[in-house]
Amino acid sequence: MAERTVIPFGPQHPVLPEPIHFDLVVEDETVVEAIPQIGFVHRGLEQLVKKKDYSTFVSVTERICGICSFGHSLGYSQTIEILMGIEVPQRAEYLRVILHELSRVHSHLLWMGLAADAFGFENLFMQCWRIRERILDIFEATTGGRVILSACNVGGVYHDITNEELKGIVDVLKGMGNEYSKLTKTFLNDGSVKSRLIGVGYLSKQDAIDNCVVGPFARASNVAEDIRCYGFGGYGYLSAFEPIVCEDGDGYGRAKVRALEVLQSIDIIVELVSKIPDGEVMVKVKGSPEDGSVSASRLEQPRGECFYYAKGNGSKFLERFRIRTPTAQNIGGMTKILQGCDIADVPLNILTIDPCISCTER
Amino acid sequence: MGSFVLGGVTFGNLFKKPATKMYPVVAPTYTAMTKGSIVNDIEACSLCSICAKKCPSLAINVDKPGKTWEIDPFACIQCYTCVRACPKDCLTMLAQYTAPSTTKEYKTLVKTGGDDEKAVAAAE
Repeated sequence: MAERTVIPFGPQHPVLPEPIHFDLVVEDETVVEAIPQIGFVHRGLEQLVKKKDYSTFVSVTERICGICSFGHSLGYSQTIEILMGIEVPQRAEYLRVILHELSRVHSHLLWMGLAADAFGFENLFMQCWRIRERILDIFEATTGGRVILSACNVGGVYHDITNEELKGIVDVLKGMGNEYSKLTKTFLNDGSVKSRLIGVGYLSKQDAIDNCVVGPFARASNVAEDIRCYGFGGYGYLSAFEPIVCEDGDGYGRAKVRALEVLQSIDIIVELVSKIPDGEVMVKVKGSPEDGSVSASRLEQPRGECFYYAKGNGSKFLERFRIRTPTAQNIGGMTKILQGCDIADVPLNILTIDPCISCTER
Repeated sequence: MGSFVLGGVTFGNLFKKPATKMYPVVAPTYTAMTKGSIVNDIEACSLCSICAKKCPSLAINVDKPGKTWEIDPFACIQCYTCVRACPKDCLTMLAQYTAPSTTKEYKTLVKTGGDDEKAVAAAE
């Protein structure tokens, strides 16, 4: 039996996109155990609810994550709307889903670029990010921001996107679809990509359920769990929704699920744009959450299920606000796939779950 | 197989315009919606300080007796809250971003015309 050695990995490491530390217990070149440690960028955002009133706090929630920023503002607004019993105009619900799905497209394209970069496929990385830039341009033209949109608040969305602009978005997405399908072909059929991803970081369905993993990480292990199925908010207006699952359970499966989810998101946007009703996009919100009122809501972020909880105390400041982000949930599964992997595969395994540690630290 | 597809894309890119711009030689293009920086038409401003109270990043200071309105452009998060809250509609969001600077300084605006002058003009 080889001698066990502990190799510290992160939080600052050339291949790590985010600050997480692992103590990798290795035997020769094989990792036998990975002990994660987080807490390097903790910001205490949840505590800020006591200092910012509920409508201002949306600016804070948007800054939890730079990639799924719109999703967090949507999840927060949704929770407060349940807490205060506010009914959001239908058009606003449609627009929220459209913006959220655009965020998913850009998040998955960003991940595909980063994954390509991780295994040294620089050309593919740049092609992915070039396409992603168009989504950011759509954001800039419709909401004014490229990353932090400030488009959503309790009661609806701030700016209406006109029907012409929505048709323009659909045209851009359809034009993008052709180029994107070429990228997907490369991503899923290229020999070098396959040799790097197939069989790497395998997680069985049972392990995925036992470790409560969420999002594309779970769906790649054949766990058909997607919060969009439950029809929260604007997702209820979709004619049909089937989560994309894959039986592979390895890094290739996760890449496949994400690649196909981009096309699914484009379909969702096209369907909602064809059905969007006219009307108001924001209702005026008055009053404060009642003392002792609690609410919770769930949202499918690009990285998986995100859970929000809010408690009112009768004033315009909330008593408690909590977010459980997808990556916090996926860290257990991540340590599981690191067990038994080759030490050279550790960075790639971490990357395939699309970790967002800054999200997790809140 | 995938390499040939990507090779085709890459070859096609040789005959297309670059996806990036030679900034700062080529000026960036902004949309009508772009959130760049806040400007205040100080003469129309009533110095009511609603913007300062609503600002989530506390970037605005208003001194009514001193007739000054100031903003820290580097603390501003371009969230539009002040523009929406302004009762006089004197705040505007410009598409241009704040120019880079080596120091973080407040941009101070002093209101010259005021109620006193208006009263004098009315008396005359």
